[in-house]
Amino acid sequence: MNTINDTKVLEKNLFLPATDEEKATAEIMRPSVSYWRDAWNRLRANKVATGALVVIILIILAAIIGPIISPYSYEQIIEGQENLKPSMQHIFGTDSLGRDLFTRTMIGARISLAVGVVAAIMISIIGIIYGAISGFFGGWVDNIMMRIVDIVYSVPTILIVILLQVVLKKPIDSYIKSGHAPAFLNSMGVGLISIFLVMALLYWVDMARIVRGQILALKEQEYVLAAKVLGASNRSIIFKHLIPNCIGQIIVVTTLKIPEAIFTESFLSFIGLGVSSPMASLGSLSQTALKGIYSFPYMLIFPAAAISVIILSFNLFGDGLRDALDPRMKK
Amino acid sequence: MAKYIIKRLLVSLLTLWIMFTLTFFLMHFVPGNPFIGEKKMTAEMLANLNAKYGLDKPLGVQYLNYAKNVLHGDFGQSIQLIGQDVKDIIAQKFPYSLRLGIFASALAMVIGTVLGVLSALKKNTAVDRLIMLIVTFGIAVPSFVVATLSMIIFGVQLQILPTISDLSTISSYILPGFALSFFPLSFITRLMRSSMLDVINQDYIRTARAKGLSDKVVIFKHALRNGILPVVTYAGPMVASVLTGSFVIESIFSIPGLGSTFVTSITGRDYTTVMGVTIFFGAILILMNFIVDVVYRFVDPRINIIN
Repeated sequence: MNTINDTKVLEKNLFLPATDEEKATAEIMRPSVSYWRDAWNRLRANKVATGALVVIILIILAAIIGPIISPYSYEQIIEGQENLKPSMQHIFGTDSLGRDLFTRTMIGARISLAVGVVAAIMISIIGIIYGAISGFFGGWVDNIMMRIVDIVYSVPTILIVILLQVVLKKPIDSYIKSGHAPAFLNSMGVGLISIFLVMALLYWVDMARIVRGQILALKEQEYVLAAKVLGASNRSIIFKHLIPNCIGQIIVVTTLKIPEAIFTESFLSFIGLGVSSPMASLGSLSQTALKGIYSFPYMLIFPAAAISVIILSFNLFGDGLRDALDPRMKK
Repeated sequence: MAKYIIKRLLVSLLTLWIMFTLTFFLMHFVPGNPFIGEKKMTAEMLANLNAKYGLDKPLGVQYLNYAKNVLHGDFGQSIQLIGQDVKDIIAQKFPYSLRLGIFASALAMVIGTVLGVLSALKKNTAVDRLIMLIVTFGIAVPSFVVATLSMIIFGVQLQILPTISDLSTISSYILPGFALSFFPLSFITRLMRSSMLDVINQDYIRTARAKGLSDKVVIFKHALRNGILPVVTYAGPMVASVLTGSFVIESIFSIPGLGSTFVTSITGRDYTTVMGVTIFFGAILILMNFIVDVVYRFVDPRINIIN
């Protein structure tokens, strides 16, 4: 028989213990590089992305510390000091009501950043869960869920955002005034709440599509089969095995959603639908500044520059992060 | 092909219908009624007004009526501008937006393509880096920032271009057109660059060069034809971007177009106008996406084979 013939061919010297020399060749010379370490190294090597990250950190620090160290508060009206040009006392000048523009710009950056980050996280959570369910169950569930995505995708988002903003303003306003609303909603104001609501409703589709695509590929892998055989529930397979394996892409998409959300917020505030006075966002500051553009152009320059720098650095950082976390996606 | 067009048409109509329905019902969730801002009214007067505008009928009937009217191109009367039909407002204002939009789109297409090809051909030189730098800014800087900054520089400081524009002279197109096209222009440049780099490395280009064709012929006759395809797909999103941009650009430059009208009717809570213009803009966007999808199949038959 075959097996007996095969054993005859094997010679004894094949089974001698390896010499030290032979062992040395198989030894791992360097500590193994984990996925995250590898990504971090790639990110650090990318000068543009690192620079963008530094700028982002500086802006976040300024937005947190700026209003604290400033001697004025963002809503404080200083009579007799209206429309001042930038000076030592007010480094960004004051607005037409005599409010310190440095403080207001920093508060505005705080609001814009918070909107961007919170919205991006919210969008991601919705998109991940939706995409994961659609991809994991497949079949008709996937079919229906993806048709819904197609429709949300083809509906002109910005028009619906505007429409929802217009419509939601009154109900939210009366809900807040009724006194039943939690305190944090009260301090956010109608504009911000409806911005979050519309983003949660409409902006999750990209994330859902990407996660679905990943899950479709991942669910065919052996470890998923192993988990199934061991009796793991669908839920634990999705959340413990599948989603953690597309975390790289999820982080990239979330990061790139931040500038998009900031962009949308500033656009809406600029056409008068977002944050309302005395609160300030970078978009609403730009809009207010536009009224006095002929006499006081400096009022516009600081918030406008701040928005541009924030969006630019998030874009550049996001691109770098994509190259680092997912080299296959590199353009 | 015909099957694809029909399928795509049905999806477009479905989207349009969903958008219309959404708009209608959202507007009806607004508490209060459109006449609440008027002077003190007796219940009788209110009932009369409601009857006049058909607001006393059940919601389903109102929906069907509105749908019938919209199909006839009738969006009802503006609440703010008493006595004006939304239809007339659109007819009167849209030409301005259309002219500016076409100008900005053409600018973005032409300059974007040229810059993209240039930077692909001069890859990793100073020219390429400069173009990429400008374009990176173009994608990050919101259009209202571009508009207001260019207005300060060229309109207020240098005073060489008008800051208020009714699009009657060529010079009045320059600032709003530039501000409106900066983002799509930057996007097209990036798209064109990467697609040209892709194409240039393909075998048929090597063959063309090996045959001894001149650089000019290789680039313009062989590479550009394939390289420009992704730009065609961007035409749909570009219309969306130009349309959205027109809201702020028209407001900034006081252009009496539909974009700025839309913004004033939003801030003035002019529900009928908001509703009418939303449906109108939505229809344009959905139609454009449909046309772009179909045209793309014609210019690139390879897609049919893949699917």
